[in-house]
Amino acid sequence: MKPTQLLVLTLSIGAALCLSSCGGEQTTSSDTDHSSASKPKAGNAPNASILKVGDKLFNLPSPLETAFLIEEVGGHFNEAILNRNTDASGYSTKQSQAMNLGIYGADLGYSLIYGHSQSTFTLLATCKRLGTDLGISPAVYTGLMGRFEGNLQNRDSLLIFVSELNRMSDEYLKENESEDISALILYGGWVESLYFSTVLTQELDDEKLRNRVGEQKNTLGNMVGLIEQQNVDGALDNIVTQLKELEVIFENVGDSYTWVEPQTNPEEHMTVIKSQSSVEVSPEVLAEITAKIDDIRNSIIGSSES
Amino acid sequence: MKQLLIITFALLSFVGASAQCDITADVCQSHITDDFLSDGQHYRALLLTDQVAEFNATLYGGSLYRLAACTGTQDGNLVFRVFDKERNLIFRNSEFKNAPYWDFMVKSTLDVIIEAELDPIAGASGCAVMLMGFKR
Repeated sequence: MKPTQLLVLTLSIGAALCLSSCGGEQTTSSDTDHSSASKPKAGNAPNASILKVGDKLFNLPSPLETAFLIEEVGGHFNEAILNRNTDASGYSTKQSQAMNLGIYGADLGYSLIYGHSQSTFTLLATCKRLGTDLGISPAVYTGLMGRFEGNLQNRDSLLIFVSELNRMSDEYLKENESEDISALILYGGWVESLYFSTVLTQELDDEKLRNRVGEQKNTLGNMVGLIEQQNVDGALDNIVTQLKELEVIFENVGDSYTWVEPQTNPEEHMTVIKSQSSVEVSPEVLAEITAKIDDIRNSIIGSSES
Repeated sequence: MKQLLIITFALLSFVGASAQCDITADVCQSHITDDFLSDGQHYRALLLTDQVAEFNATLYGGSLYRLAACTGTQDGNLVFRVFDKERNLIFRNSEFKNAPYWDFMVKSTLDVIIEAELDPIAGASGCAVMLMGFKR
C-alpha cells in the first residue's frame, strides 16, 4: 500500500470511529441547491444519529403554548382531561413509552400552568420514570428535579425547568441515535395538546381555542413529515395511517393567508410579522376532528393493555 | 494528490465539526434567555459549505418567538433566512452582521421555513444548531 493510500485509510477509519463515538452521522447528501433544501431522508439509516446533512427538520409547537391559551381564554383546570393512568408501568414497548411520555409531558405543562403542584409532582415523577426507561440519562433529571423541589411556589421558574427538561431530553436522545424516540415523544405531546383543545373548545365555545384546532392543519403536515422521516422499517405505519386519516378531515378546514410586508427593528433585534391568516372550522368538522383525536389518544394511552 | 488533500481536509473538518456540536449547543442556548421558554426541541445539522438545512415551523399568533442559530464556538458564523410558506422573505440575518438570534413578533399564526447555511468565512464544515423559545 502506498503511503498516501495508507494515510487516507487511516484518516477514514479515524473519522468513522470518532463520528460514531461522538454520535455523529455519515453524510448522506451532497445537495447544493440553495433554492430548495435537500430532500428529506426516507428515515434513519441503521447507524444514523444526531447529525444530519441537508435534511429537513420539523418543529412542533410546545404543548405549553396551547396550555397558556387555554388559561388565557378562561378555561378552568379540568383534571378529568389528563391521562388518569399515572402509573405508566404498563407501557412496556419503547414506542408506547415514548408516546406516553409526550402525553404526560403535555399533562405536566397543563397542571403546572394552573398551579396544581400535587399532580405536577406526580406527573414529573412519571415522566422521569418513562424517560429513564427510554434511556434518557438520569443525570438529565436529577439536577432539574432538585431545582424543581426548591421552587414549588414559583410558577415561572417551574415552567423554565420543565421546558429545559424537555429540551435536554430531546438533545440527549438525538445525541444517542434515538431520533425516532424523540419524534414519538413530540407526537404524543402534540396529540394530547390537540385533545385538550378539542375537548375544551366544546366546553368553552371559544373562538380562539376553536381556531387553535384549525391551525393544526399545517402543523399536522410537519407532524406527518417528522414521523415519516423516522418510519424506516414500517414500525410507525399505524401512526402514519392515523395521521393521514386525520389529514383527510383537516382538508375540510378552510384557511386563508395574506402576505403583508414585515417590519424589522434592528435596535430591538426584532421583526414584526404582519401577515394575516385565518381558519374556518365548521361544527361538523370540529366534531370529526374531536372524535378522531380521541381515538388516536385512546390508542396511545390504552397501549398498556395491548 | 490534490484529491487526497481535499478528502483529508473534508474528513478532518467533519471530525472537528462533530466534536464542536456540544460547545455550539451551549453557546446557542445562552441566547434563549430566561424570559423565553424553550420549545423543548433541539435541532442540529452537520453542514458543508453550500449545504442548506431547512427547518419547518408553525408560529402562533400573539406570541413572541426567539430563534437562535449558531455554529462553531463564536457567534455570527451561521446565515439564516426566514420565509413564509409562499417563500416570501421575512428576515435574513446577513443584513445584521449574521446576528446569532432574532425575535419575531407574530400577529397571526403562520407556517415558516427557516434555511440555515454556513457563512463561507466560517470554514468548510460545521455543526449548525438551532433553538427556539417563545413567550406570550
